[in-house]
Amino acid sequence: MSPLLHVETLRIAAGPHAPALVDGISLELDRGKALGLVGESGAGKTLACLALLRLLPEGLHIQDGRIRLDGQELTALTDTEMRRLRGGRIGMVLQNPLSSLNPLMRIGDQIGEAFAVHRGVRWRTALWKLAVEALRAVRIPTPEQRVSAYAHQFSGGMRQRVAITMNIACAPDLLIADEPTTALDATIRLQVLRLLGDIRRERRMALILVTHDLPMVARFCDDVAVMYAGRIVERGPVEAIFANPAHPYTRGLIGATPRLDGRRRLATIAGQPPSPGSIASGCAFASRCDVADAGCRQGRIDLLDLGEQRAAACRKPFARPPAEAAA
Amino acid sequence: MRRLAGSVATILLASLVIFVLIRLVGDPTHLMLPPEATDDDRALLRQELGLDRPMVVQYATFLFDLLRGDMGESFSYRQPALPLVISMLPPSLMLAGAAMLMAVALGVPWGLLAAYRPDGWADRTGRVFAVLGQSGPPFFVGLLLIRLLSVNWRLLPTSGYGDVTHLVMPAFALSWYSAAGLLRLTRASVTEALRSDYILTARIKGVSDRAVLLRHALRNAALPIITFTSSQFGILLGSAVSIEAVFAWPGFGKLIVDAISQLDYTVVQAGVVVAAVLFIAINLCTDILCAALDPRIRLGS
Repeated sequence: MSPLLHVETLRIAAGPHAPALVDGISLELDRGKALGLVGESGAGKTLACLALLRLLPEGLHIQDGRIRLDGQELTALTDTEMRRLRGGRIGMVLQNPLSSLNPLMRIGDQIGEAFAVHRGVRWRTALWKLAVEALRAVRIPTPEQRVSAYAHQFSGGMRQRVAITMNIACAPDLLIADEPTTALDATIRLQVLRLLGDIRRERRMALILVTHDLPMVARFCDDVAVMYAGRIVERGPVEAIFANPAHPYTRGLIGATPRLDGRRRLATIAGQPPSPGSIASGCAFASRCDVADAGCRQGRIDLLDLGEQRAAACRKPFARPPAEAAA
Repeated sequence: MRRLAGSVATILLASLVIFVLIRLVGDPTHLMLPPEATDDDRALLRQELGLDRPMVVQYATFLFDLLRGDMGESFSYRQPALPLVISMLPPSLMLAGAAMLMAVALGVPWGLLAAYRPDGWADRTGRVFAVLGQSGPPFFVGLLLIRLLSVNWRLLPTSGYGDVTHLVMPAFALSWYSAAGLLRLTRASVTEALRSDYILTARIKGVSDRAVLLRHALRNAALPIITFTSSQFGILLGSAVSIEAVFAWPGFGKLIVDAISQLDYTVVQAGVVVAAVLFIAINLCTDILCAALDPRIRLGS
């Protein structure tokens, strides 16, 4: 069976000769599966996701590559066809639930808008009825009263539930959640994530979870793709990668994650990620890498198949620095 | 309740300032009596008008009369000042109202289009218009219009007060400046709204460009636009003075200007109080409108 989402060599830049902000990434995602997209800020995670919706910020364009959803080539669709797909087959939840809700519109109208666009429902009473059902599905208490409320009358966690409701109202095949819990209290995070997990299972919806939070990926995702400087440097099943990361950057990220037993000192990755276009050749991570040698700074390093559905863009996969190997 | 107290204080303060200022400017009896009148004649007239008493007493009397709706008699027209001022309001309000409507009808859609397609044709022409509008004084625009539409093309009457044809040119000349301001403001606020997350969310939901622009962006940009529009109303009434002169439009502005030059204290005072009440009423309407539009401003929620 072909995957639900198939992204091939996607390249995003301001122009044909401008440095790429997303540099030839490829992804596959099956129906009902969850993919964690991780990496530092500025790695191109959000841009890659916006490109799937063809909603890149002003001035940025998809320069190259293919995006297929259920066999349908998205880059070839007209604007109107693309608009029908948005909210209908692909949804996306943004990071800050307060700013992603319109402050002047009642919640019922904002959720109802999705039904109006995709199901052609006209009347407000009918739209609100659908909105109430949708709110009930994400376990908002007393949805009959809440539909007429405004965003500022909700708590942070409730707002994010409402934002999720808006985007899954028309049962999309794919939901992108761009750091959906970063702006929330720690106690609410788990609730929202569980909700996303439940919805995914109930509706067989595929999920792309964009995050910095590796434990969250370990817990809620099937696969993980690690992005660095606009490229995917490692991807594969969550358990295998967390157990034995192949790319030194992935190893660094996992080492930088606090653990409850606290026995190990928290590791950091020295240096800063490069700015777009500053790396002429070689591996973008080489200057921060603890196992890099002269060969890593030359040529183009592509994703290398490691078997077991894993791949990493590294000349020396699974290499450890001498000190650690000795220990 | 606090608002009401504030409004009353505003009216009192405005009346006090104008009351003192106009008395500093000069003695109206010089203008009211023929040049050959003696100082005794003038003293008698001052006494008759109550101008010989201390200013504090005069002001107290003024306030006391104000409570009964009496603002004294005009020195030059020999009739009650308040009804005189109010009788001149309708033409001015009509002129300012028509100008306001034109400014909104011109500035808001233009600004919206400019924000929707930055550097598109609406944005380019809009920028030219904004500079022209904000640098061309209304009376000059009025004179140009008269030259073009009345003298050269004979389409509209040059001046006077009557039907709609008399209203079009002065109203348009008056709206020119506000329209340019509204265009810039609309473009800026809609542009800002379009950058927000809720617009992106609406697009993600698949909402069409038109609905995104009108239902989401314009509505959120409406608050500054409404506030600006209401503040323009005062400016419009103010610049209506020059427009009323150019187009010989018998209005409130012309009445007050004449009253000041004739040192007609009572008419000036009545005019200021009426204007203050008018502005307060407009501000109140603006606040009510904003609260109706934005649930976050609504009291008690």
